[in-house]
Amino acid sequence: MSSRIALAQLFVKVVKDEDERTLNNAFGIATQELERAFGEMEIVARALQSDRELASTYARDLADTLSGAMKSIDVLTAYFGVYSSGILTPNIFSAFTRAETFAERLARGGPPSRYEHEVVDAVRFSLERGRLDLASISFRLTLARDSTRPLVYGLTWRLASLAARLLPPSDRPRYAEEFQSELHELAQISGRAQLTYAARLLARAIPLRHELHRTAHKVAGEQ
Amino acid sequence: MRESQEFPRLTAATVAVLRALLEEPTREVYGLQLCAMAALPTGTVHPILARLEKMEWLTSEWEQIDARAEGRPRRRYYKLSERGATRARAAIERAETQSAELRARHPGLAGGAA
Repeated sequence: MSSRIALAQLFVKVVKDEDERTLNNAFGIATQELERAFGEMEIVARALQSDRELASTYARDLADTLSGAMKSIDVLTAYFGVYSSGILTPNIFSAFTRAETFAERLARGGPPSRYEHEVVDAVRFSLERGRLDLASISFRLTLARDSTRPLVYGLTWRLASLAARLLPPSDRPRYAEEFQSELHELAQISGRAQLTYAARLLARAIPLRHELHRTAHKVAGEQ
Repeated sequence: MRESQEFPRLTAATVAVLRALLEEPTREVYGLQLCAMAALPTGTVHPILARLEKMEWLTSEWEQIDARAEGRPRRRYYKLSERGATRARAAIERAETQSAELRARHPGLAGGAA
């Protein structure tokens, strides 16, 4: 075996190992952030009984934690968009937006609303669903990893992921999956073909977003 | 060209996509395949496809496969609708007529339907 081939194989291995580490880190962080969010949710619920200002601060912390969880989930989505994004993201996103709206409402002051506890329960419910999704995805990924793992690494999947993230939230799962599928196909040609494709996706993400905004009522709900 | 409810904006790329689809109007194709058929660079057709889907000229659906068994993710397939095929032919014809008229008025002008 020539030293050049050996070097190329070593390079591929390093890139794959790096990818594996990124993936494991993303799972670890997403799990930790979700667990933390559960704890913070309980603190918000308790603070609500006695100190609404403090509850608002805690609700803001909760929104920050959920924002961190979503970033980790984005990494998972980019890597395994095909299998995870459509299920996982909406629950966490829902918990995040509810917590954030709740924190803002509390910060504005005013008398307690009779719906506050219902909101807390709704956030709790979304978090629970998100946690179950994460566990389920983890299991499915373990099964799927060997056979259908997208052959997409580093900069390429980051570009494709960014292109998907520029789209309206309801369309991201569909296009993330479509992009991943095509990137997987291009892996048969070359890494350069993948990179070019991903760069073009990014360049056309805004026109696509524009079209999807106009078509939102038709495309949403088809997942 | 002004976009109407009847006709999408017919850029040269849109015309290329429609022509490719019209070669076999009942065939289902995925994005990369369509790029090859229309001689367009990869990764450039999604905004066009989204627009045509809005017009209901196209339908799209996920490939029904077991991704693990196939060893690859499922594809998103696009197909001309019956109405879309009729409209696409009319739109291309209209674009060609306009292009011919333009060339007749300005003989020095080159290029196709834009």
